[in-house]
Amino acid sequence: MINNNLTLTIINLLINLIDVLLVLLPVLLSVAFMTIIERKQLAAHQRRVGPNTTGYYGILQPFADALKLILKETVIPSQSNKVLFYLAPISTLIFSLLGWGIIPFGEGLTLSDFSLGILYTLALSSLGVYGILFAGWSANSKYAFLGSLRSTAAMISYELILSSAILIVILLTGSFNFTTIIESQQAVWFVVPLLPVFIFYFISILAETSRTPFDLQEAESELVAGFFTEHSSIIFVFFFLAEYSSIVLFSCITAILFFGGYNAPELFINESVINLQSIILGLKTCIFCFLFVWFRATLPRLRYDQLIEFCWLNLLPVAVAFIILVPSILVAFDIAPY
Amino acid sequence: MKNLLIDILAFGTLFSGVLVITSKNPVIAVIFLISVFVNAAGYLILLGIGFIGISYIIVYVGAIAVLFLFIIMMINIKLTDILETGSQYTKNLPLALAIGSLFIYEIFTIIPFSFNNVSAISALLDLLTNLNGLILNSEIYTVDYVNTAFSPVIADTTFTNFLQIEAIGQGLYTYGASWLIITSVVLLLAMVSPIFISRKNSTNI
Repeated sequence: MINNNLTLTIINLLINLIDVLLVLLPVLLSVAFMTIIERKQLAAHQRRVGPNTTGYYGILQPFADALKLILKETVIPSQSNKVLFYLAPISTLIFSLLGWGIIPFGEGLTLSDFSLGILYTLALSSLGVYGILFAGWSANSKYAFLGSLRSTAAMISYELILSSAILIVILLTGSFNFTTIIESQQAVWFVVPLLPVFIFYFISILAETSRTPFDLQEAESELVAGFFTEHSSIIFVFFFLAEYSSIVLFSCITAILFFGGYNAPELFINESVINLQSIILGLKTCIFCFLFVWFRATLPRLRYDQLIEFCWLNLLPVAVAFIILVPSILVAFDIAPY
Repeated sequence: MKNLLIDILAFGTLFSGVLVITSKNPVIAVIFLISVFVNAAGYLILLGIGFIGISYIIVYVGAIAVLFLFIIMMINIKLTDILETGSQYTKNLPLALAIGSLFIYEIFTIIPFSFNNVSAISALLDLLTNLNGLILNSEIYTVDYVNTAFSPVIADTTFTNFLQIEAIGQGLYTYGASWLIITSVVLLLAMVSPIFISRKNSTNI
């Protein structure tokens, strides 16, 4: 009996492991392709060719880059705090990959249909700050430290906007569960009633993933490279992967929260083997990945005080106003979902 | 399995709590404080109180500890000064013992205490019964998986997960509505005033 239980446990563990790998491997591949998308698209914006020699259309460029970075020498500053120096990139990567655990890729196609899914995402995004803070402090370098302080201040400030925008979506659905949020958008995508909320949500995720115009921690003209100035070789790859993984993750969450996730017009709903729903979610995610790069190619970098002032003086009052307005409308017309 | 994890997390909480006080470097101390919060959150989640656990991470780890760390990193603290003052702390040890034992006495008078509630001892008992089962070849079903705490397939956990938020909300909005409104107005004022102050000081707007 006990032996039987043990084999059951092991089989369960193996199935869970395979589940996780089935999500993780495509995610890492998509992260790799995100980097090549960014380089090609930036090149197109600037009327260059971009990387085009490795593989067809330069499609193998990210793998070549990764191999090069892995083969490089790991340089660790002698005055640094070694444990935190290694812990920082690892924790950043882990926290940005953990977010994929609750994303529904189709009806019931999710690792965990967690009832507090959105809170889980918010908790992970707030834990992601620590990797950056530790990286800057442990490297014992002025540039890295300044970069990490800037990045942390910006992330804390914009997390407020992000969570209030998400709160408004929760008010419309009455649930923290991603699947419920997607199902409640079958009539209309939330971007239609909540367009202003979507705009400041998108601004805040640009700042959360620290992309241009908010990439102050890697302002090359002021700080050498920001918080990962001293990190080299494989631990730099971890930071790189974490950044792009969080871009893809936030694009996916945007598609889920505001654009109906895997929902699509009736035309695409079928019972065949190929799951069109996850392809639709992928396409929606690609649109936001494209937007991320588009913003990078178009907008100049803000000054740091402008960044913080824009958050606290302009965005936050608007967010608070919407938090008051949306529930008032829901109560006034008696259309609250609970 | 789950019991073992809960024990490990409880031990981790206490251990990192001790390390918060004993570590010399203030930044390392705050890192152990974060470890305390994360361990406690994991403990709460495994106990089945997922909402409280996750709000621990969001509020304490995501906001408060970041601010601690931020400020301690920005203040220029000389490690040698701390090491000098560190030796003075030991002379206050009797005072600490007195206060600590008083606190423990008060806690134990309030909370009903029995040895069955101490999970380490009950785990030992479980182990003994398991061994008994092995030796006497009787069937005992004591395997409970970690994923029973998370997996929504099991009806019980989905129930509790939903009921938690709803129960908290019910309590807050029915019995504490006026206090909630007062608190929210205080928080709003606390948010508006820094915005107002910073807007006045900046000349370029």
